[in-house]
Amino acid sequence: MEKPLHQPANFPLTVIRPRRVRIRWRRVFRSPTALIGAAILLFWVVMALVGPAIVPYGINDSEAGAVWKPPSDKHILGTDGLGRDLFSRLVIGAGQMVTLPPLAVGLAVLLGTSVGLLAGYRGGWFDEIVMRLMDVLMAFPVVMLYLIIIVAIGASAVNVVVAVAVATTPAISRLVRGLVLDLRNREFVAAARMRGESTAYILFQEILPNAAGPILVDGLVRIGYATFSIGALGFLGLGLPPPNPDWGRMASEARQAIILTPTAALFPSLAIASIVVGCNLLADGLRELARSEE
Amino acid sequence: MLRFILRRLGTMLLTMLVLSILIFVISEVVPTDPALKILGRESTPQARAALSEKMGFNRPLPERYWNWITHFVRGDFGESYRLGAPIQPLVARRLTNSLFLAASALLIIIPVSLLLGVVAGLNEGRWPDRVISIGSLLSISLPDFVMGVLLITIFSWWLKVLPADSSLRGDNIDLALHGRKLILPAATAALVLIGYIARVTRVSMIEVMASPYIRTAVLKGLPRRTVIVRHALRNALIAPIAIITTQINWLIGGLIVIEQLFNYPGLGSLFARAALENDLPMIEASAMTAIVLIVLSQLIADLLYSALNPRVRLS
Amino acid sequence: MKLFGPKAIKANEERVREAHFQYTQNRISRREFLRFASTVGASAMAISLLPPRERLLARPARLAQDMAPVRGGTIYNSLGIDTRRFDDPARLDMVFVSNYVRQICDYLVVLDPDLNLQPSLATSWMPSEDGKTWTVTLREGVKFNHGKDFNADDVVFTFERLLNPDNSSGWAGAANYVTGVEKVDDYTVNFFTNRVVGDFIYTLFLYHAAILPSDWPGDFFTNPWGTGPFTIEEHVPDEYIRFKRREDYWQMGADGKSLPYLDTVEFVSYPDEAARFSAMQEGSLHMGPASITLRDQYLTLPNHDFQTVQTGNLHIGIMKFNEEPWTNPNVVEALKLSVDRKAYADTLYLGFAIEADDHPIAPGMYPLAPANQTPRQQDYEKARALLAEAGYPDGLDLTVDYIDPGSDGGFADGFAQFLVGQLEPAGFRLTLAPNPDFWTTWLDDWGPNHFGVSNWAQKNTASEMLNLAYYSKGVWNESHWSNPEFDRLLEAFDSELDQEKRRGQLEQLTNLISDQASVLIPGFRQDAAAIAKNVHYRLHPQAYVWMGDTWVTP
Repeated sequence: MEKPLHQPANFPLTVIRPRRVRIRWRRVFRSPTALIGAAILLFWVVMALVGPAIVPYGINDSEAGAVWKPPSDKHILGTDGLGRDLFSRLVIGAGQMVTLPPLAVGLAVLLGTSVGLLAGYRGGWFDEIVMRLMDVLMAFPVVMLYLIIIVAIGASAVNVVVAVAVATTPAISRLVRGLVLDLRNREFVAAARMRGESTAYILFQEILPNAAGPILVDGLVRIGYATFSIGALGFLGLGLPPPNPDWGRMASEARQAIILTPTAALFPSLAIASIVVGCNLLADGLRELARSEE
Repeated sequence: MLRFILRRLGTMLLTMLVLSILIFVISEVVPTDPALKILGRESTPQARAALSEKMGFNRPLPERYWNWITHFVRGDFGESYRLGAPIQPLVARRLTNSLFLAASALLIIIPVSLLLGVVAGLNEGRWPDRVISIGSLLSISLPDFVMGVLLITIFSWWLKVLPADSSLRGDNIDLALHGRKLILPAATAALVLIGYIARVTRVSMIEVMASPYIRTAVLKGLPRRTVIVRHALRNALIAPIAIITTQINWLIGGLIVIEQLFNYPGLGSLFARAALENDLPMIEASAMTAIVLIVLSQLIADLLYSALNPRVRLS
Repeated sequence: MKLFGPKAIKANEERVREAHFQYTQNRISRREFLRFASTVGASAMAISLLPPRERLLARPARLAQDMAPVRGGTIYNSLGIDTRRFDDPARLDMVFVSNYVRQICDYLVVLDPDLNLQPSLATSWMPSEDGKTWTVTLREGVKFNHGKDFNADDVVFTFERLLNPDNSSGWAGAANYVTGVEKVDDYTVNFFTNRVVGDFIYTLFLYHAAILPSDWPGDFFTNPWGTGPFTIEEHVPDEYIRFKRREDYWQMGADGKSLPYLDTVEFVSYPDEAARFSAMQEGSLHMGPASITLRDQYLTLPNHDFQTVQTGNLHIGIMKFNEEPWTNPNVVEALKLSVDRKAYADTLYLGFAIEADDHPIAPGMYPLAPANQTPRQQDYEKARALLAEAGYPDGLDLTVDYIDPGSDGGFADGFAQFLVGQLEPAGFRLTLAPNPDFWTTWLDDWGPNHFGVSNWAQKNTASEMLNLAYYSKGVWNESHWSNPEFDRLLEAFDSELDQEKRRGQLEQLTNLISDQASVLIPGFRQDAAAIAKNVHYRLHPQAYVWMGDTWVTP
């Protein structure tokens, strides 16, 4: 879970290379890696959209006595500890799993980009202080940070988003700052400065569009990790409050019945993993494409 | 070098100071009444007020912070609300266990990931590289609890060869007694990191192999094996080793999920239980201990790295 | 004190004879007769009144073991939840936690797994003629584990501590009719009450009332002093606590030597059932609580038995009587009508539960408890109609407060989640709000549109349960229900010694609760544990764990 925070821009050889990545979306079809990733993500988005229409049971409907049942005709993934249909809960649970992580990362990108842009462009003491602070935050073990935030402000969808966003912001601001430092001295920025453009213009019209590619790819990876963080919070019992079909909580609860119905723990686990895999594949593919175009 | 060390030390202290304030402030936001928690629901309001007064729960935040941090520095971590026992010996015990688990995980991670990365890097584009890359992707993408559940399902329930319970009994970790119990949690932690480090190693290996001096060495007619072992490896492993040191953070403070999953008595699970039950002094002490350790280990890692790679110091 | 002259004894004999008459008339059961006799300290007399054939059956169960116990060995036991502070027995507030103290300390009396009252540090007891003073005779020759001899001073010390509000003990509230305790001689004490309470003697077995020595300096962690069968060898909070046997325990085993049979008992913390199960499968855990819903999985364990015991433990839905919307009895009734009690028993306990009709006195688990009536039938239509009548035609949004599953192993959580699905069709839309500090705010007003879920362990007597939670001044009256008629009846019930009349009164009391109280009680569950086949142990219906007479075959 810490990984995104430590795929650092300050090490020379890392998987993510924060160069200018320009994404040509139509080219996505040329990369099988990206395609598979996109397909997985699309699958869950579609599930989230049509889910409520296709599920056979409500998420709170329990069949009396049918507790921890393995898959059957009636319940294709079996039932949970309260006789609720796991398939229905898994599908309905997709809704929050495809919305909350992007929201959290979106928020973090917004914050991180603002901080990174300003710090990188202004430089000087502002940069020094802000980045030191971000470094300090990055030294905080992320799971601990999540837990402590959730305990302080309570477990709810909004608070989970806030916690993940707060924990993700420092790394993004680092990345953006690195990009800005790189772009700041390019000719087109110098030209804009010579033209007498305002700082805001330069930041948002010249620098940001050129940094958008890497930020996007990085954001995609982070959405994967946000999914995994939200899953972990649920797993620890601090995710969305019950009876919400939180995949992490479902996996955690079902572990105890692993002999009766292994699917109950495995499917929610694999569902979370598949989203992370999807995000990583898509990001990998996009990066490869960008590199091949250079 | 001395200036470098002093500067790092300064940063380190500053980091700990800021984080201690952060932890304290956040955990004091937690909606809970310490006196009520300690004395229980049968206590009279007078008894609670008296205890609050005695323990200083009703003092202003800065004063409470000062009180806490000065005691913390002296090794007095206070008493747990939930357990009614002194925290310091518990934290010390759990920390030892956590470090032991982290070390066991590293023992797996370092050889396996470096080997896989080197093999993949040397075979860029061929099948070993493909297989290792897919494996790395899975390892990077599978959350620790998913990995744990998978391992438990396979090794504890189907094959029945390893326990899914890693609780320890007795004073110290006794390998003969607990060795088996450490395997699954250590393997879970290792599998989560191996992919990432293997990837870094692979890229590093490819770049080094493509660098001019290696090409020169090859052109000079040195055997490929000598080139790899004598020249390429040393340079290619700097980056992955640096990356491993950054992961110590996770291995110390981040194994919460794994510890909870296996009922392993480490610092992470101590913290998690405290968090689940609003046990503020325990939250603060365990988080702060983890941070001190992380910051210290990062300092050591920085120093090591700068010794390996002198350019860092200048930047 | 002249109260205990021949006149009082005579009065007591009269009471027992009257009860025996009712028993011969089949108006109370043999067990109820015996339990009553033991309550007033006349077990021996009661047994003598029985025909010889029945006398044998009336003996305490633990002497009736037909196998000869084996001495020695270590047992690893898990209490499920992790350790909690028990630095002062007076402040215990959970049965689970009291089980740590139980190994080290004794009580004056105990309830055995058959729910029969047995002497322990007290050897006999008797009420005065007016029923307001109880004389308790203490056992001689008992030693505390720090060397002190046990005598009346220790009992006075213990109960004065419990009664002192500065010590924040739940006992003072639960036994609020006790006004004082006094030493008569070294082995006799008097307890005084301000009203007649026939079941007084049971309050001596409330878990706070562990007997501490009069020289106890405080802090049970550093000074775990008691007369019990074990002492603490090592304690690592949140991980394990290891007890080792005492050589000079006063209670004798079936082989005529001092209990306990075991050398060592270790309580290991396993808050997570999956890990607990794995430890059992590995053979590193002898016993521990088990979820009934996982019964089939436990049955796969080759070396463990799955033991269940019917209890009076219950889940309760709390509706604050003085707050919206529960001030309207129609809303309360609508909620009660929305729950299918059979579905409750089947889903949460695979049928290992008795369906209940919203009162807390489990049939068969308390003397004189009314036989099970047919519980309310689920009727959504009627519930919706009642809601509409109460002004909620579109249903109601409720926030449900309960203890966080991390703190109680998910007991309350499972019930709360079950209710979400059950109440939805009637128009109650629940938002769950688990809270680790639930027990500190549980008795307060919660504000409008709150509903709560909690969990009650069976109490020693019906009177104790009703006084705690349903009496308008009850210290644990969580629903804030108050009903003058109920209060009057309960006071009459407490002071009545005629068993047949008490039965009628108890039925009236439970009917009042069932019809009017703002609580939902859908059933009484069974408790289950997985216990290694070579361990000789019986589950106690009140979740008490006492390892003093447990033994293990090698």
